[in-house]
Amino acid sequence: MIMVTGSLANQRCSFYVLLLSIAFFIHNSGATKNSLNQQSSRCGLHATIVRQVEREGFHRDLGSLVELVAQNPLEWQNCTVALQETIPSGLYVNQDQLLDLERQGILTACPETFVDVEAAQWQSESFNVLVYSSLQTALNLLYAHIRMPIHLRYHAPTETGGYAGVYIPPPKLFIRCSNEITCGNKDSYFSAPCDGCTGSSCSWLPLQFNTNTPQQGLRVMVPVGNKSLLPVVNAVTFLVTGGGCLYILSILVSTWK
Amino acid sequence: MKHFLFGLTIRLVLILYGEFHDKTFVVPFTDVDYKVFTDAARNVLMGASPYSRHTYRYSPLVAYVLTPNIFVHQAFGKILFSVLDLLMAHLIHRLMLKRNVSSQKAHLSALFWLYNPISVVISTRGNADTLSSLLVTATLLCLYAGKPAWAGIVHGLCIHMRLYPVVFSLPLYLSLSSGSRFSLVTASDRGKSNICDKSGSSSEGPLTKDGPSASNESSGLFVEFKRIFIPNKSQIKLVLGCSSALLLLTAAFYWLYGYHFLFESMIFHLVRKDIRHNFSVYFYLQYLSAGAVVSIWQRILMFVPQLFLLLALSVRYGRMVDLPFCLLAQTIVIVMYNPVITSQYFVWFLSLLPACIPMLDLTLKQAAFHSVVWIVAQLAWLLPAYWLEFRGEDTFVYIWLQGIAFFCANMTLLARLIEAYKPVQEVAKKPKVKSK
Repeated sequence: MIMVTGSLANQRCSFYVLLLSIAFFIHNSGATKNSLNQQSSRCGLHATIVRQVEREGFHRDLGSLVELVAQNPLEWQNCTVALQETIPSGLYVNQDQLLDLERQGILTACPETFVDVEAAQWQSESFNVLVYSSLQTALNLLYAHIRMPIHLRYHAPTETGGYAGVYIPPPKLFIRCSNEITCGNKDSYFSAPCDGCTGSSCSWLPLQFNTNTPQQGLRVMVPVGNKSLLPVVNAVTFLVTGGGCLYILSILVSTWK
Repeated sequence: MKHFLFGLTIRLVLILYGEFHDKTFVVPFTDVDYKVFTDAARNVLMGASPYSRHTYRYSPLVAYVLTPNIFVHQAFGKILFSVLDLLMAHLIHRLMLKRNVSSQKAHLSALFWLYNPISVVISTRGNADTLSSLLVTATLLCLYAGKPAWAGIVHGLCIHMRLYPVVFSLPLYLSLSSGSRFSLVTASDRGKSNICDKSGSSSEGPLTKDGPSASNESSGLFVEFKRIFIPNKSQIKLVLGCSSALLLLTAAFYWLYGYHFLFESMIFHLVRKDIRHNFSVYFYLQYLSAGAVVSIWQRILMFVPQLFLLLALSVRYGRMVDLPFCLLAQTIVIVMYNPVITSQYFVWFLSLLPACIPMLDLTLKQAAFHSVVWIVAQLAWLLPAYWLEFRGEDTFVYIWLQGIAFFCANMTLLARLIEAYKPVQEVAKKPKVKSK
């Protein structure tokens, strides 16, 4: 079996994507929390996340372009953003692959639970992953381009086969700065590790954002087996394995001296 | 010697290329498991259990041996496996000489391993199966050297490293039998095979020599029965060596790492059931019936053909002269009937092939034909598998059909090998080179 550990090596022209995405059709991501909205505007930050799933097949990349338009960009230069992704049961991230990416300094992403990379969809549950990224600056725009490798799980076969859909819901966005953020409402702060999978806990300011992700999430299609073929598969497989056995036995007998 | 240096150079160049390849391309050159070994070695160095690395399913010894991956260089393991490859070629050479094969053919067999593109790629990708292949060959060598206790110990270690050689136990045991069916010297080729006399049966010469003699007819079935079913000294040594090595290792690592070790390195391989696509003929069947209760007859149907074949091959080829071929044929059977097959399993039988080549009565043309068929059948499977895994297309049925085709190709190959196999004394004098 071929297995691929997706490489994030090429951070290809993130600026190009950035420009494109500004012209991108962006609509609101449902659930508007008033307090969050007020908070974002109080802090003078307007966030958008442009999301897309890259590559085909069972090994993909979940790309998120986080953009913050700041009234006072200097204030946010030493900040880190974190995305809390909900990985549905139909997908997984490979913890060891993520550790490798962290060692190479490409991506810091931490699953909140142990992830069984071999389990099928129906044996799995959704879980959260915290993804960290520092911010880059372009004029009054702060942005982070995050690409996280995700893998599809095998799904249960259906009566007709074909494809099943997996939906990746929009993430939650948080920000933390080395200097204290004064504009936030202390009650809404979220507590999570400061900058790695383990270590001390920090307070993160949640941010409201706009995104291109549809309400139900980004859809990824995964091929599934056709259960109606089971009787045929059963019969042919055992006919072949049984036949193979008899064939070899007959050869053994015929060459017996 | 110059071949050894050249073989090593090829491997080192390929290891260097691998470093470059992995940085450049999406599909890595390095084996997936090599990363697993490295991570497990890191855990060991930090004082943790190698099994805290998810999907580490090997003996802790592998992680110990590869700890220099962390503190010397990441490619250490690959270089080690390449050196073991050279050692393997050397052992094959010695094994062939022990079996009275002409030194020219022994040389060719060793070269077949040294320059075999598959063995080169396997070791440089960092696949640890080179290690178990080496141990299997070492077991044979000990047996031929007339050291059944050592053979047992190495065999036990081998089972500890990789579970599959456990099926070799029966033919290994039978090959030491004093019964005339299994003993080295059968009535027909008694005169010709003086090599076997001094190798395997040295520890109980008188018994074996009496075995096939004229008195056999009068002494009757009872003696024969006794010779087959009552273990002799060599057999007891083999069994004791094997079980003590295996038990000692298992107990030691159980004490160190607990049930986790037992499950990951042993039980897992017995109950392994992977619904994801692989070369196995049973892949689609298992995927489609996943989640449902597996009926008892389905279990029996999956188990029985394999059992019959393994038993039949043990009885037919469980003789000292036929041992390498017996293990080769058995390995093909267990691999092809396994519910999960990944390409690393092919190393298992490829490593036994060189030792059998001089006994295969095949022309170069036939050998090339079989090799091509085998490789094409594999590539034909890889095509739909690529479309499924990397393009997300629903190609399950094609993968299943190619799995069946691959199974048939292997069964046909096994049949041709059985037909072409001639024990060493009977092969015509002219040298024949054979691959696959």
